[in-house]
Amino acid sequence: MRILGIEVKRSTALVLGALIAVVMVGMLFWGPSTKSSTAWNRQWTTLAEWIRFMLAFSWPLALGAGALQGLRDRRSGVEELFGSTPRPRAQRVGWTLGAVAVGVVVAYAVVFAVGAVQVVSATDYFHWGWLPAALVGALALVGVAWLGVGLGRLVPSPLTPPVLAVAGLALTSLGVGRPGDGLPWTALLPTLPFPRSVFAAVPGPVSAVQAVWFVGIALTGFLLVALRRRWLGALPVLVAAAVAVPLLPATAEEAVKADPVAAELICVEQLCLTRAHEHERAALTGPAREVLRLMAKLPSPPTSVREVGLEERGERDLRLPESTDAVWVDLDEFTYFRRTPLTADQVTTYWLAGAGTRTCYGDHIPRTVTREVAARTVMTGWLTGRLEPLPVYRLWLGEETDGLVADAWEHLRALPEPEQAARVQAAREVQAACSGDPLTTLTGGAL
Amino acid sequence: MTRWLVLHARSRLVPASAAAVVGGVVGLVALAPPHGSPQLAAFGAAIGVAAVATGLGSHDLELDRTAAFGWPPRRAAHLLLGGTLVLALLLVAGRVADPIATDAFLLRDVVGLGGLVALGALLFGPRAAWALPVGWTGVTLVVPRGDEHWLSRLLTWPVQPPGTTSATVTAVVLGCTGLLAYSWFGCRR
Repeated sequence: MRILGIEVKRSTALVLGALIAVVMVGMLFWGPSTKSSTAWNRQWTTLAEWIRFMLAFSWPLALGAGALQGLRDRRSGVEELFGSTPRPRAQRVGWTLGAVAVGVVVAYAVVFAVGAVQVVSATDYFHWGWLPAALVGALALVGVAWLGVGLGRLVPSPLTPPVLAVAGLALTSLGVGRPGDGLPWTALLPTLPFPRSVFAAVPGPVSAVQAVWFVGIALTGFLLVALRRRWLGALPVLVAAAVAVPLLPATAEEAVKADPVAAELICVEQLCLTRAHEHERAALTGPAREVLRLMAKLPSPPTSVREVGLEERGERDLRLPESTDAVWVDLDEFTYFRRTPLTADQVTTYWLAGAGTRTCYGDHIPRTVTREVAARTVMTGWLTGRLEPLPVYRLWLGEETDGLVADAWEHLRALPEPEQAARVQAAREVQAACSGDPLTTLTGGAL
Repeated sequence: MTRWLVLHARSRLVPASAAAVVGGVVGLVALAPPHGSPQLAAFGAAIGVAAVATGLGSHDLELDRTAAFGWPPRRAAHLLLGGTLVLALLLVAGRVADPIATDAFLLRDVVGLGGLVALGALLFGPRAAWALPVGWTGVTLVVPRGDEHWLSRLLTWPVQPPGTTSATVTAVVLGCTGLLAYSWFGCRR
């Protein structure tokens, strides 16, 4: 143990560990990982997946720093001296590699601890499903650092570390794209695509295959450092590749599986939230009650507020029909999760939009969205008694919709009261089912 | 004088570094998309200065100290020549193939990242100096460069459009501090 302590101090382990921890925590706090429900500090799965994503930087860094460590013996001119001692080489280098592994793993654990402290206070949904993905990340870091030491010993030039680091960065940048890009080969990278929904997670078998692959890399690194006959070192990585490659996920659906437990709805007092977002119940009960109270004006009002738990976001062109007996809400649709939380009034305003219906469009929004926005604006205005622009689209659709809204509002207000309620109810049904043009229904075909 | 130059170049592994820079730039140009890409151009500059950095310090600092001449001007000349070579290579690559970025962009990035690598040599020693420019360019892959926040602007200076004042200032400050500090103090022991 004394030797390990000395090696930790004398090797690159401390500097590497500090760099990894600083770079990863800094990027997690400043990158895109702080936004929406999939933020790294809101759920256990997203914590693990974001940290794996940020390996895009620390993995090449570990490779380069490992190579730097591998240069040490040759550049200090002590190889022959050490070679003349009877002690097995593996015993001596084991401590050095151990020190590097300790530095890397401690840094990784620190990053996790920084996230975990925040996750504990942000969600009530705890499970162990995130652990395999997290452990594979630690394994990948240790493996690549050891591989770096091995390659540094193999090619002891001062240019080796930067060349390896740049090559590593080029490799990991391939994995930064959308999920499913370049599969199955991107599954061999330490990075995961960033999480797109809290209701999906990396399945255990994928993590197991990746673990095999990174153990192979680590063993290769170890053998490259420890063996006199270095070509034997290539064996573990070849065996690992032979085992892992046929088992790699080939499609995005295999690489990310839905998490039905996280998406399970729990209903208390007409408010149904997914298990993952149960923590928000205290903040959302008031708005839910208020929305249902205002909606009671309709001939057949909804009886509950229910969260939509989608395992994939922004892929479909058109959302599926939803029943009208509930107000369906997607917390990310109006970016509920922000640094400064929304007030209860703001949440109510968002939920009331379109008389409690969601927009029909996903990623691809056609020009005709102005008609939908106008109809939803008028429906909301009828419920609250005040005609106000919808909060979401105001910035980029305001002027186009204003005219439509004013006309439709005039038209609706001119009708007798029961007829108004029936029209809004009909428009709400059209909008919930995404089956036509709600503005036509609302104005009886006049607009 | 020529003899001194040749010996200096050999002791600092200049031929191998130069070969690495040329290889890196050629590979980069081969990978570049038709209209260039700021990230790729920043990477080119980072690879170049990282290779230059391996020659910023000698194998034996004690031996260097026994020399009967002052090191600061020689260190400054080494760094400046290395930076010029990297810039020239990137510019020539832009003339031969499709330009990966404008000349002003490349000049700014080589100046800033060159200063950064010199600071790296001062702090971590010449063999680990590459970590700073390579790490910083890696960061620009994830932080959105269009973000209005000042910290995002600062972090993404290597990929900001050429006219951006904050990026130019950052690059010049990094370049000057790096050059002065490295020339004066030399590498970490």
